[in-house]
This record gives sequence, structure tokens and C-alpha cells, in this order.
Amino acid sequence: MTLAIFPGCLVTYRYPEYEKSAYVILEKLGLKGMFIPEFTCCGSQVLESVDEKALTALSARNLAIAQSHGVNTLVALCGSCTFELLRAKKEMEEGERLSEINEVLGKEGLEYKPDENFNVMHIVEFLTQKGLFEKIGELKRDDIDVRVAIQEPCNASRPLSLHPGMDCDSFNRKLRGLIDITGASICDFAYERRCCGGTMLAFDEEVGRRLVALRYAALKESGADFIINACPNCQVVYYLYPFVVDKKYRKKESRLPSALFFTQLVGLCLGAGLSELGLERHRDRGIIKEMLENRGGH
Amino acid sequence: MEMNDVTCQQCGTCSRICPIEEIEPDRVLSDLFFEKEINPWLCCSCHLCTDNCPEALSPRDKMFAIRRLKIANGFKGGERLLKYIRLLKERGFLFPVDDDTNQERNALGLPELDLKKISCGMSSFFENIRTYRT
Repeated sequence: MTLAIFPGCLVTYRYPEYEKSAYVILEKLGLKGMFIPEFTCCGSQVLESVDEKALTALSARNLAIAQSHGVNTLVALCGSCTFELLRAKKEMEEGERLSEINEVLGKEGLEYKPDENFNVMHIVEFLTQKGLFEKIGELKRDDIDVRVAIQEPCNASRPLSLHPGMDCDSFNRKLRGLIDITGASICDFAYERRCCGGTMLAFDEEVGRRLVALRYAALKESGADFIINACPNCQVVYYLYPFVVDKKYRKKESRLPSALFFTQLVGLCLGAGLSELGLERHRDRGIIKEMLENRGGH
Repeated sequence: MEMNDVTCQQCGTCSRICPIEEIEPDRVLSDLFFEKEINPWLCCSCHLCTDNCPEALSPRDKMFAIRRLKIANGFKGGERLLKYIRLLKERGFLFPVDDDTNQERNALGLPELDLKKISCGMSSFFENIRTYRT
């Protein structure tokens, strides 16, 4: 297996700690993630709103770049990137657009070659594959017994037509399975499976603000210490946007549970340090340290 | 309008399941299959409608098709959308990724992006798409 991580633009620009903590987990598992320095954005929703053909070609281009480096397992961190890469892969494999798009890519010396051994998946899917999931359990060094709420990343597992063999609960089961390994207890959160609403902030901020306000209220009620994300769009909702609300609307949304990427929580349970997981750059690092030190008798 | 649009039975499943309906309770999402005016920007792309439609339609995909139609007919798409598209074409990302991004990566022990290759690649790519069409 030749593996590479596809970070996407939001992780690259705002949340490199998600990428870093993903590499840390791979390393603990004895796997090497190849770094591809020329991946771009997947174009999700933005380019789709303007030009559908360019959207497919852009994702096919990223797939072709991966193949040109000999990669056969491409692991996306973001829900939207997972969706776009899988959609382009399916469209290219079904044949209709393959020659047309490869003609465009060919001018840059790139080609997407349909190959049944070339796989694209979200990192939750990757880490819960048979063998790896069990290995995470075996390598566990520490119980991170904190209370968490989970936000499921919509685009990582939907639409189901891009995920043969999965049912509508598969992804949630896998994500919860990983959180269970860490020793964290999962609180009921009304929006766990109902979208963070984050991408609305980009297209109609007022509607987006009303959507996320509902989630903030439910999150405060959940009793969780942390909100665990598996997509940078969700991290915008629970990490970045509360401060926009505070500043713009003079409210105090910032007293929400701290937002973590699931890879940071899993990394902690595998014995990784705060700084290698990028937690030293977290706004709530003081609270996080205190909580980790004081938890359940540790 | 695509032929299969008429298979919509207006059962209301998409409206009920859409996260946006919680704040726009009067909106009838299936209106978009019947050429009734609907704001195509109010979609968070969660695909819940697609996965739950009993007729295997995708209101979500239809929303994006309506966006493209509006833009093809001269709708400018809003300031933020235009900014994203400009950044994508110039830098390969929707956000202003630059040398500071690589410095942050260095601080975390992550390898650097090849910003020059990305940006040159994007100009070629969008130029190649344009010339392919004309």
C-alpha cells in the first residue's frame, strides 16, 4: 500500500494540526503517509456552484497527481474533499467524461487511470478497516476519560451511492468505535448526525449563524467537555465561529466545549504529546491540559 | 428541466429532513422540481435529502444546478463566492495560502507545500479548460 493524505484547503489554511495528528497516528501504526506537495483544493460547493465540468476535472487532477506519485490509497481529512474525490473517481470510472477530462489533464502531463486497486476514503474509514482498528486498541496507552459530543461529517459518508456496502449508520458506528477506544464517554448531542451547518456560513452567513446557534445551545446542554470533529468545516463551526459571534454580535458563545479533531483524541490515547498533536496551538490549551490532568483520578 | 424531475411525489421527506427547514419551516423543498422560485443558496450540502428521497431524486444536486443556471444567466454569485473562485484560480486554494502557511507547517514539523508549482499548475489547468471549450 502506498498511502498519501489529502488535506484540502481548509486544513491547509486553518487546521494543519489535523493533518499533523493524522500523521502521528499513522506513525504509531507503523504506516508511512507520503507527502504530496502539489495537491490543491477540491473545489467543493464553490466551483460546483459555478462550473460543474471544471469541478470534476479539478478533482480528477488531484487523483491523477496522486497516481503520478504511485499512490494507491488516498486518505482525505475533510468530508467535502472525500465527497468530491469519490464523485470524480466514479464519474471517471463510469467512462463518459474520462477521455474528455484526460485530454485537459494531458496538457499538464497528467492522466487519471481507472484502477480497481486505487482507493479513496475518509480517514475515519481508513482507521477503522479490519486490522487497523484492532491495532489502535492494542497500541492504546492511556484512557482519555473525558466527556465528549461528536459531530458527524455529512460529506464523508453521504450520499450513500458513493459508498457501496455501507448503510446510513456505518460511518457513525465507526467514528463512535474510535472514540470508544480512547476511553472518552459520548454524550447525547442532538445534532451529532444532523450536519454542523458550517458551509452555510460561506453562502448565507445570516442563515448559517442561525443554524449554528441551534447547535451551540444543544452542545451546551449535552454536558460534554469537548466537541469532537472529523472535518475542518465542523471545526470552523465549533472552534472559529463562536468567536466571530462574540465579536460581531457581542454574545458569549466562546464558552462552548473545546473543539478537537478526533485524531487528536486518538493520538492522546496512543500516548502522543500535546505539542506533536498540535494542541499547544489550541486556544483552550490551558483548559485542555487541566482537564487531562484532573480527569478520572489521573 | 430534466424528465425524471416529474417523478417527485411531493411527499415532503426532503423538507422534513433538511437542516435548514428548522429555521425556514415554510419552505417546500420539492418546489425546486416544479420551477417554483426557491433560494438555491440555502443548502448546506449534507445530502440527507438525497439519501432519503423515496424516488431517488437529489434535491441537493438540483439546488446546485439552479445555482449554475442563475450564474450562467448573469447572477454574480455574491462577493464571497467570487473571492473564493479568484483565490482558487490564483493559488489553488479557497483561502489565501502563502509563505506564512508553510511557516506554520514548519513549526508543526510538517513538510512545505510547493506553492509555486501549485499556482502555475492552476493557471495552466484553468487555461486548458477554457481552450478545450473554445
